[in-house]
Amino acid sequence: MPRGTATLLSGCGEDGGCSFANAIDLHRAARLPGRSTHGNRLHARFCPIHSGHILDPGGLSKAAARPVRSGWRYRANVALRTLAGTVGAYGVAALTAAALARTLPMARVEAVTIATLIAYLVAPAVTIWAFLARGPWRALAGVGIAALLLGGVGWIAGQPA
Amino acid sequence: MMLTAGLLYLSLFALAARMQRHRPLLLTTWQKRPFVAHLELAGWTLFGLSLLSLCLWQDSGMALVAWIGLLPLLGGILLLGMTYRPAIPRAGVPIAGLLLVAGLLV
Amino acid sequence: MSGTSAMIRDGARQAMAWLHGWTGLLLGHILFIMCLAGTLSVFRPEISRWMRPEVSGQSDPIRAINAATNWLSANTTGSAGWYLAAPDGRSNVVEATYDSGGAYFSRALDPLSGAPVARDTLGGEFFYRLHFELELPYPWGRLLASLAAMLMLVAIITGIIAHKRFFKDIFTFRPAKGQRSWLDGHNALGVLSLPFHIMITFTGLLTLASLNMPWGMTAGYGENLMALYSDLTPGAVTKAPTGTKAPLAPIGPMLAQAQRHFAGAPVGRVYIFNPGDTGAVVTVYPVETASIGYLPAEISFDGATGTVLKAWTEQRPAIRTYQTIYGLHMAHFAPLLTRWLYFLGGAMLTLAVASGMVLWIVKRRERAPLSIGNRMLERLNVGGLVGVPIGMVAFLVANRLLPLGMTARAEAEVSVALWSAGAALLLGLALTPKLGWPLLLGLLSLLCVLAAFLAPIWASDVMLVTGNAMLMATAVALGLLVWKHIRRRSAPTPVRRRVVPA
Repeated sequence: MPRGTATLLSGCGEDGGCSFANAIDLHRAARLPGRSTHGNRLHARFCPIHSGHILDPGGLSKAAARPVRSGWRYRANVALRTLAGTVGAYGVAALTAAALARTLPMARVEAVTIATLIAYLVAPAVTIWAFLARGPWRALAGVGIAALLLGGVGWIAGQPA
Repeated sequence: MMLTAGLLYLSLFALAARMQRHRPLLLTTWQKRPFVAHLELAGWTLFGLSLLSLCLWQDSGMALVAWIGLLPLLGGILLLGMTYRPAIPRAGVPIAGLLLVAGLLV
Repeated sequence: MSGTSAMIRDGARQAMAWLHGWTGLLLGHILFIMCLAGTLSVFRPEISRWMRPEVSGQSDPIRAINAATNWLSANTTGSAGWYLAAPDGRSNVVEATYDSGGAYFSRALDPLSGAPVARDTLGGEFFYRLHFELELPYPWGRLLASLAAMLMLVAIITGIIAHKRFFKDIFTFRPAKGQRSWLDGHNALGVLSLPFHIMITFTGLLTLASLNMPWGMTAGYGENLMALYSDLTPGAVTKAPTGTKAPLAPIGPMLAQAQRHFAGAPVGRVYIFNPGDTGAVVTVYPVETASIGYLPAEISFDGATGTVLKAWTEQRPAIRTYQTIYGLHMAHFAPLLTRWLYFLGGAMLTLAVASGMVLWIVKRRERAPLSIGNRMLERLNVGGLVGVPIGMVAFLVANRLLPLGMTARAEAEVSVALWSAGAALLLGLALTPKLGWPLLLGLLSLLCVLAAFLAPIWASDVMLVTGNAMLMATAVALGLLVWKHIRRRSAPTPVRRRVVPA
């Protein structure tokens, strides 16, 4: 890695905050002797804030100036994922329990027991997935589709005799 | 119980000793020995063996629970010992060895 | 939107760390109460014995239940049911819940005479109930506990994913370095006993399944939940009361026969439905110490005649799985050493939760002056994390100080606990944390000493002595903590600033 890259990479805080408050610092650092613009690109590649602008160094100043943490987009993102990860996760787990209780090929009380056990595994998995999905709408969509499928299975199966 | 505890302690000791930060404390004069390169493998092998040793127990449920409980106990001795008095975890090695042998014999 | 979602997804560890922090914070104080009360509940019968030092008689389970039912027959009217727990090696009384004349009672009955013990107290049951009901009315307490447990599960899993150098950091503990030390400690407490934490949280959620995940049950059984319970424990027979009076048949032979059915395992719980009626039913369950598995068998007798109605030994694999998972949480099966290991695990979980709450504040304080919300939280930490143990030890002190003959004595002890915790909480909120931490910790330490010294210190009962020893050890540890805190207060707190290259 070119000399000076470490400095550029160290600008990335552990929680994604960028300590280069002013993009001019970034440009100035890139123009120091011995440092190529390659170092600049490495920063852009790793920095979560500037990663969208790898081919657009001029746009870096816009990215650095915009406060990412408190914008309404960010808040909406978090809120939607939280919805998917709490109500959604519980709902999917509940529907899993219902669907399995009606469809597992064993005595009724045993099916109910196993179904409930499995539901407890499903709930946290969905919560985690809601925050790892590619976007908040994907998270909600995934939860919704799973709910529909499971609900359908449970409804079609009907209550065991 | 003794066999499992001995194996688990030795495995945790080995895993801790393979870290640069902890090596001087735990290994002192033994640092330059050639086996140091194999500590990670040894550590994980012993860890796996400690889990396998659970098959020798009479009651498998109890065995698993005891292993789950021994983990923080032995890990805690190692952690706190390294922070405050490194001689204790070092002394634990021969003790663990004895427990291992005793467990195999009994 | 792509920039921010990329931030959340590409920084998967950061997202998990963020989620971990918030799920831990939201119900952290509730989880602290549950973990502390749960850890103490491992020794529920021992604490009960500490709180009823007058009971010196010992009796085997059958004779004790016999004495209890004799007393109950003579002293109760119009009971719908008596629920009795026999003494075992750890508990030395019959714990009885019964109704008489419309009112409900929960009493410890002497194993020899069957009469209620002189010192009316909940005993260890207080911590057990606090653990899963949080002293709130049914079903809200249990629902809150379930919610907290679900968040705890998410917190544990996100904690694992977020931890960057899981195995490298595993044995690292650097004391006296501010946030770094709290993080090391929090990680060590969480990781070293991780299998325990996962096990106890998951199994704990399952114990409240009928409340928080009943959808499998309603999907399978609809409205007919009685069918579910009779399918689950076929040996427990229910009968409606007939209205015709009939004395209860001698219970000794029933219990002896039950023990034979249980292949020698001693009698554990005895439920007597509609006593004094021809429709009486006596259902007997064995102790759970034989193996890991809650309710492995049951047998029901006709109460008036003593004949067997139904006997059952659980063999179905699905049900046995459920019972084993339940039993893993209850830990009744555990012999002494294993019980102490459970206690250790629970203590580590409690401290992990507490250290996480403190870490939240310490981390933010080292970067910038605290926001108003975080300052409130810091004070809430002081009041809650120390106030809850203060309430618990006040409960023990009240047990020693309240007069024996007092009416509603057991409820009074609980009131003392709640009011003390409340007062400590207010004190923590009112005082600046610099003063609050050492003051409240010191108060807790003094209360522990008080509880240990208010009764015979050197008694012949091992459990009394151990209980006092634990209290004294806690007091000494807290005292040392306060002393170190006061000494270190003059030293500057470490500060971490972002390095911005020129």
